[in-house]
Amino acid sequence: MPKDHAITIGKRAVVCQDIELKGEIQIGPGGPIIIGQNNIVEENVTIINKLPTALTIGDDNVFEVGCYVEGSKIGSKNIIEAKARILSGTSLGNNCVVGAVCSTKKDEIILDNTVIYGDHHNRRIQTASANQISSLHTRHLDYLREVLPKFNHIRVVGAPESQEIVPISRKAIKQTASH
Amino acid sequence: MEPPIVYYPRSEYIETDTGNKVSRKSVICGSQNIILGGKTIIQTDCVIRGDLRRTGGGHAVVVAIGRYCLLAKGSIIRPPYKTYKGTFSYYPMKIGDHVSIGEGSIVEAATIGSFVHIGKNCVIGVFVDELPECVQDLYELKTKDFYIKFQPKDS
Repeated sequence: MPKDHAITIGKRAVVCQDIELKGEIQIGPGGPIIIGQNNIVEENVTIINKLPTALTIGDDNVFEVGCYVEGSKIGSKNIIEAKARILSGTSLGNNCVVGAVCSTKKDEIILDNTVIYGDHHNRRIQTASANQISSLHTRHLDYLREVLPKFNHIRVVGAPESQEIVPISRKAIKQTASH
Repeated sequence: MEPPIVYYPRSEYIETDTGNKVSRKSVICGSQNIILGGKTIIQTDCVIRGDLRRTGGGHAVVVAIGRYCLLAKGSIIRPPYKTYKGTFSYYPMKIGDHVSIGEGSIVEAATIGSFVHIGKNCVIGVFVDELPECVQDLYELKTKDFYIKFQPKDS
């Protein structure tokens, strides 16, 4: 992680070492890429903001392995599955699921509870209950907060009690903010 | 068709006693929880997550990989997770012998049998149904051949 840029990391986030963070980034709560609380970012995820305005990512999202996010806004409680792509200018609502290897169109506005799935990037409305998903998410977070520090090199910022919010799984998270 | 001999820079790979060839540019998390059967090749930019282990104490094998396996460039192996009886946990993953996983594929399956070929850029998700069996002889030959022809070269 470079030391020079304005990277702010919020409370209880877990950020592993040897990840790539470029440009102005805030993990936790107010810059060009703002990541909310309780997000899970897995391996090889790319989050890029090429717009001059800030890319705001809400809370409780899951970015699975190798997904690519270049949207204008991401809501909360979304699941972006493995190798899914969110193209430039797209804004994603809340409780959405972008299935594995699915992609959105450019400059699209995706409403709340949309599920994108299948070969032809079909759309439907979410049927699973939000409670079920959020309880799985909370448990997943608890697990990662406990396990990740045991096996990975964690950079401790500030006092031990105020350790950070986002468990970013190891390796190559490219976050590029344009200026 | 006869596959060609593939040369790799000698300095990039570590060769273990059992003949595993592991790239130094791969990411292996929690290596104490990973078992490689021997003569397995792990190429550049692979990620194996041995750190995502089952909750509860004691030593646990998270990823077990058999013999003559090939994890091609950029493939990602991570154990599957689910909540069972209210507890969230990752579960161990087992990969058989003579399995080749193509470039950029993501594998989160609980088990992969022997003699399986997974193509490029595939995503194998968590806990789906069991997929069918395959042709043993062909794959045994193919993976052994690949191993023998994966040769170091001093550059």
